[in-house]
Amino acid sequence: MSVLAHPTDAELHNRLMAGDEAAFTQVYRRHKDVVYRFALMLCGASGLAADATQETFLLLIREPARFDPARGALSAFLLGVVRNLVRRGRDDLAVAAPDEDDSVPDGSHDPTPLATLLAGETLNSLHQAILSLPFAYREALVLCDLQELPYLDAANVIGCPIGTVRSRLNRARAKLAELLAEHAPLRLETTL
Amino acid sequence: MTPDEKTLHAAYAPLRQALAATVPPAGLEAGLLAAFRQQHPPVSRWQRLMQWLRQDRGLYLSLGGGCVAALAALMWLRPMLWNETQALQAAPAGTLVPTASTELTTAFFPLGDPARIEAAQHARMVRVSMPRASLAAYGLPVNPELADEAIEADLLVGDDGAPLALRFVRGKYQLI
Repeated sequence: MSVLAHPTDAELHNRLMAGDEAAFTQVYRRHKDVVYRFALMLCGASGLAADATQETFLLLIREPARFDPARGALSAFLLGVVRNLVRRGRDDLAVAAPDEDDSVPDGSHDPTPLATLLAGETLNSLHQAILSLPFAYREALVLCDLQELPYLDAANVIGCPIGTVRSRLNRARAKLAELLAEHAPLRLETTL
Repeated sequence: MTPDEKTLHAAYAPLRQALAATVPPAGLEAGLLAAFRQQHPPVSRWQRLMQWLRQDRGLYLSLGGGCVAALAALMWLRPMLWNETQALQAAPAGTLVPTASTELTTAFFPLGDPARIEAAQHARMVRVSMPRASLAAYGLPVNPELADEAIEADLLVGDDGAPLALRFVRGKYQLI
C-alpha cells in the first residue's frame, strides 16, 4: 500500500491549512472517537461531550496554526483543547487543585483492592464514581487507565510534568477505591 | 506493567469496552465540513493552478517548461545548424570555406588619405597574410597566445597598385 494512503498528521495538517477538505475529513475521522470519549468521561454528558468535540475541531478549522507539529502530536493537541473546553464549560467540575485534596500519599496506593472493587461494580456506578473524582484526578485516570496513553502523552495533554501525572494517577486510583468502598456495604445491604 | 497493574488493567476492561462503543453523533461531521467550506471557500481553477505553482511542484513545471523551450529552439535552429555542418563537412580538410557565413571581418580601415578611396575609379581586393601584431596598429586587441601567428586581411588596391584600405579577416571558428 502506498505511503500516500496513510499520510501523517503533520502532512494532513499542512494540507488542511491550505484548504484541503479531504485532509480535514481524514483528520476528523482519525481523532473524533478519542476526543469524544475523553470529553464524555470528563463531563459525563453526551450532549456536552459532543459540543466540546465540535468546538475542538472548529478551532482546528478556524485557527489551524494553533497546532505546532514540533511541539507534540495532533492527538495530544486535540485532547488538550477538548480538556480545556470541558473544564471551562463545567466550572463545577473543575474543583480545587488536586494537591490540596491530598489524603493519600504517592506510592501508598495498592491497586489490588481497587481491582476487586471494580469487579463488583456496574458500569454505571463505576462511571459515576469516576465522575465524582476531582477534575485533575479524573483526567489523569481517564487518559492513563482508560485511554491507555503513555504518561508522557498524558502530560502533554494536561500540560504538566510527567511526575505530576504519575502522582495524580496514584491519588485518583486511591480516591476511586475509597469511593467504591464507601458504596460497597450499602450495596450488600440492599441485596440481602 | 506490574502484576497489580495488570489486575487493575483487567478490572477496567468492561468500562474500556463500553467506552470503545461510544461514538460522537453522526451529524457532527457534516456540520464541521460545512464550517470548513465556509472557512475555505472553493477556489477557481486559475487560483488552484497558482496555488499549485506556489508549491514545490512549480519548480518541476518550470524545469519542464525550460526543457520544452530548449527543444523548440533546437528544432527552429536545426536547418541553419545543419547547413553549416554540411558545408564544413564538404570542404577539404584543413581549409575554411570562403563564404560570408564562415568568415568574420572588421570594417575597412582607410590607408592614407580617405579621399583617395572616393577618387578611385576601380579597385580590387587582395587577400594577404600579415603579422598578428599589426592589429594593434589599428587599435584592435592582440591575443598574446596567438601573437606569433599570422592573420589574414583583405587589401583594397587601387588602379595604380597603391593600397587604399584594409580589413582583417578570420574564420568563424578561429580565435583572434
